[in-house]
Amino acid sequence: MLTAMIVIPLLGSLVVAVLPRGRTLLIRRVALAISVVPLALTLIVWVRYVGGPLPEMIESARWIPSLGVGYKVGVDGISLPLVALSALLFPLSMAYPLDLRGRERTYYGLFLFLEAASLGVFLALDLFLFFVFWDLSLVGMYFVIAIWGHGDAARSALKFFIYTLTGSLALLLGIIGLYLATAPHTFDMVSIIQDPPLPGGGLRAGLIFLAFVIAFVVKSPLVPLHTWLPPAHVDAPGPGSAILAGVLLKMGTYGFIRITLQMMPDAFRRYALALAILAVVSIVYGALVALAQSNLKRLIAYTSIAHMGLVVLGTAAAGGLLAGAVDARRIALDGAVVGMVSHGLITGALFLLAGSIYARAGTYEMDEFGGLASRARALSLAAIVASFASLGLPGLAQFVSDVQIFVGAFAVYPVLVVISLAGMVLLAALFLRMLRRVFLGPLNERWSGMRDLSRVEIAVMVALLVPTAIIGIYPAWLINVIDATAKAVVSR
Amino acid sequence: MLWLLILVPGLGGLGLLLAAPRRVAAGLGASLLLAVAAVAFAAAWWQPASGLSWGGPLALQLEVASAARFLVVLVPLVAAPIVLFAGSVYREDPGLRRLTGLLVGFVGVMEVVLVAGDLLTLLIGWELVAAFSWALIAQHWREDKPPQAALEAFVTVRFGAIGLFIAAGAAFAATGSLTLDGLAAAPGSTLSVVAAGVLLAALAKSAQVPFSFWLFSAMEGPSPVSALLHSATMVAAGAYVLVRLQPVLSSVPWFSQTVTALGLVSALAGGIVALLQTDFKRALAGSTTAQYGLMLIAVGAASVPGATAQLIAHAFFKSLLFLAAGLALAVAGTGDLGRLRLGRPQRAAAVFAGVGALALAGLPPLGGGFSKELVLAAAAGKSAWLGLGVLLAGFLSALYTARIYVLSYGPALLSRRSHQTNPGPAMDADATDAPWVSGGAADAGQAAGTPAPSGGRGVLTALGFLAVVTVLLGAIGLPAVEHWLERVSGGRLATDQTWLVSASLASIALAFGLTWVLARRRTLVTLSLPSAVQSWAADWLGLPTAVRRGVAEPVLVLALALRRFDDHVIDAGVLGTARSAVATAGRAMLFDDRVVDAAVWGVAKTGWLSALASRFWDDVVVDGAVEGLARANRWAGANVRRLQNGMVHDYYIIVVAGVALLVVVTALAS
Repeated sequence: MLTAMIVIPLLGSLVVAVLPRGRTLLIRRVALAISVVPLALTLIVWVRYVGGPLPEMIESARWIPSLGVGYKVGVDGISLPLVALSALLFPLSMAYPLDLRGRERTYYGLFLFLEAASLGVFLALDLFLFFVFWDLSLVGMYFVIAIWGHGDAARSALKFFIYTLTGSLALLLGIIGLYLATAPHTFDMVSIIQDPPLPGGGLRAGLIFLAFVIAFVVKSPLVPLHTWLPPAHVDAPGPGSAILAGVLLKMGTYGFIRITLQMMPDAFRRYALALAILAVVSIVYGALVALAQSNLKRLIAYTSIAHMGLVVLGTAAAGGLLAGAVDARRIALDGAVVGMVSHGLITGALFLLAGSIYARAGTYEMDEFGGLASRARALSLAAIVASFASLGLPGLAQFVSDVQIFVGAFAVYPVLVVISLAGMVLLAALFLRMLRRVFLGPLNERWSGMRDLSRVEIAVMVALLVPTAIIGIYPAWLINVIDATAKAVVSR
Repeated sequence: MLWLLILVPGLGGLGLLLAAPRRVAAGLGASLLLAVAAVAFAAAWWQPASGLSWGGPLALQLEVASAARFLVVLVPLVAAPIVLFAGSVYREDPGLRRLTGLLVGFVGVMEVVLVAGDLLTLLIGWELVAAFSWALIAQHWREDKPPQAALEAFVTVRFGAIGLFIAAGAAFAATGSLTLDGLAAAPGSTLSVVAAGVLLAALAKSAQVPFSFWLFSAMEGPSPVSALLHSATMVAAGAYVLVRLQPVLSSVPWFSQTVTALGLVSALAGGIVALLQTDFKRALAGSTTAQYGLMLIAVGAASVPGATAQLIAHAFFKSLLFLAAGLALAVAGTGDLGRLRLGRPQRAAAVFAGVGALALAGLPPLGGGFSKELVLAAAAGKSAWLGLGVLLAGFLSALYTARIYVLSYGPALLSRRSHQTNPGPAMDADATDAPWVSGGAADAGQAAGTPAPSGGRGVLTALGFLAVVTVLLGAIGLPAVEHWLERVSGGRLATDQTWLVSASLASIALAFGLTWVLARRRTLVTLSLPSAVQSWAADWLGLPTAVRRGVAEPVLVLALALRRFDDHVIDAGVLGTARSAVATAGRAMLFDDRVVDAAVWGVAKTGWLSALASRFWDDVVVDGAVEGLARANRWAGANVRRLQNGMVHDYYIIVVAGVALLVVVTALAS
């Protein structure tokens, strides 16, 4: 079943590639139909998932036994929500209208390819497999930005590629370092988690840990290795940004939990404070720089950095103590995972909306707008809901994550929590300021002919924001899935 | 039952917003609120409890305890006439449906605050109340100012909400639970943090000094919004949470004194602002800060029932006065106290407003009078100086109330004598409601020429209802009711002393007399102050300017500086290092492929190959800094082509290089 979630979109990308050119509608329908399959499978998996400390529904095969490499996939409470998020975001992003410049087959093919790679990252239970999928996702995103981007797309895509490639290299070094530390040598994630190598830390563990941290800091991204993100987002097409922010960034924060926290708990605890400080800097710095932006997409991009910082703060707090404050650290870890899901939904929605605005106006400069709510009601309403969601309004998903991370992390890093709460005020200010500048106030006559969202766009917004509200109002169904695993992670 | 208390107004508000025909929206809303009040009464009587698991160790807990037993009923009861008023005054306005729906929903989220049995639920209600305030203040979102004003209110209150997050974190870290009852088990140091957090949140919410300025921004909202926001919802949440938690937090050594001191400062400063304001609504807003200051003093003086009584009485008379202000705006098209003389044309409204004014002035046997006496007695019981301070605050409130009332709805005789144009500050808020009530104002304008009441039956019903309740609340003075207050809200009232009551009555008489003299001298508007002084003081003693210059602008400047730093230093730093490394390495290393080197050197930069790197360090720094930019374009151009042509090939070279490096590094490390 899990294998099918990877294989079907992968084969689908080949199918789409050989469909007759020019049959736009057919290509679109086939691609969408294929992209929905993993979502349907996820629902089945979610229902059948029992919940516990270890991954379930494992499927494995021999691959390169001489190196200890195997094909192994499975889900646990950390990965299942991210699998579901990815499976939801891909069909929605693909369905979102975009000028494809006559290259439908490549576009849908690439997105299906990306979907397979992204699901592969979250499902993989073998480090080598994890790395392969990780890098494939990188390649796919490079082309999405380079081909369908705007502005200085080639340059932004290259910057993205170089940056994250460097990160990948660090990841590879880390993985091989970890591999060499296991005895017998293995890439099997479950067995490494159950019996983490390099107990007690030490120089070697520190270096390997550093390699992973670099890889994940670049990917998440955290300050100061974040400068690839804003140009990549600004020049990427809306759906590309949604996937980049909604799915690809999560690979970094997922890596923090899955690899550094679970596989190197001793080293993690030793450097958790440094990681938490990095996270807090990202929160406050990301929010401040976002506040100063005049470009809508850059603004959203920098708030992503702040939100990812929050997720890492929760992760750092969860692994910051070896014993004690178990409930608090468990909440922090729950919050980190919920934060990834909520950020994916909300920021996905925000980036798609930014894409809609660009498609209508050809600019992201906020000062050129004003009063759009008078003309484009659905667009404005969606933007208001998504903005309030992102700034952490109760009743919407981000608040659940915020409150869990802040309350949980307070037991471990009270001072850092207080500092990062300043970021929450800044987030409120910058989102409300954005709403005021773009959507409220008197209508700028230049946009008096602005089209509202189309039916497809509205449907996609509903599909993103309704789950956001459901998680916000009644998150138990999600938190309980995460918590079964999180409890085990913090109380090993 | 408690869920109904939240869901009925919540979903009802949504329904009104989406589907109600405009003609009946207000009537439906008011009826719905009365139904909510009935449910609330039952809930307050039986005190059911309820809960909902949020997953993991988190859960929401609902209960009706302490002062909330009064307030759950009070909130819909105050809101119902306000909604009715809105429907009557704004009956032609296209935004009426949204206004009604949001007002009804506002009640629902305030009920969340009141029935919260744990800090998580409290935080949820707390932030939702702020969000509804945002939407309501920005009701006229097509104009320039309201969205900005809504932003200021929301951000200020959210700054306070940080305190609740901190309180929740501290409580959970110490007790493993977020319930309010569980706080009693927390150690002293934790309670101290909780107290600080809750106090910060309450100060911001209840618009106490130094957060009081946001109430002025909130004036951009229509009058019914102010009426609800100042009386029973947003602002009331701050005082409520202090009242609710006073029994636990009073064990914190610094808590009582600090709350008392802050309350006294707000009571006096708010009184001065209200006294000097020349705008009807802003004067009332100043008085809101002052009156909540009295509640804080009561909390600090350990008189929970006194604070509760003050909260209840204030809710009714303040909403009454704000509705009267809204009517004045609709009728006269201005809120400038120098230009309102509505005593004669609006006789019925003037009578109702007069009841509210006497209550605000603190005159027994109205509820507002008794509740002020309760606060005064508690304060005097604590220390003579504090009692004197409260007496002064009471004198100020009688003085500003008399002034506001005489200038707005005062008897024709007085108002004719004080007839003068205001040479002082031109208040900008005077036309707040004007463009909005084009239809209603036209109707009201016709009525203004005649002695008959205007604004429709809804207006007078609303004013009348609130006035009657204000009179009935005189029951607060009855011993039986006082005992009841003590039993329900918990805590004890201080014993009243005859000399205190006499002093307080004398101060009211003095204030009324002074108003009379000023009115006769025709200086009631300007108070003979230089206009610069008056406008400075009336604008919250310069607080908004101070916050703008001292907080908002520096943050923006910092943000802009960081943005430049981010664009030019961090980005250029990381890339520049990588670029120059690539260039140097391109000459030095065997690999001719610059992409490979970029990756290698990106790693080198962060310390992995520091030994190797030192060989080239001079080149990197010296060369890189000078030539980095020049190379950048050439390099980027070359690599775009290269990557797009032979990327897969390059890519695997990197992988191989990575493996090779790793072997070296692991060897070094182990």
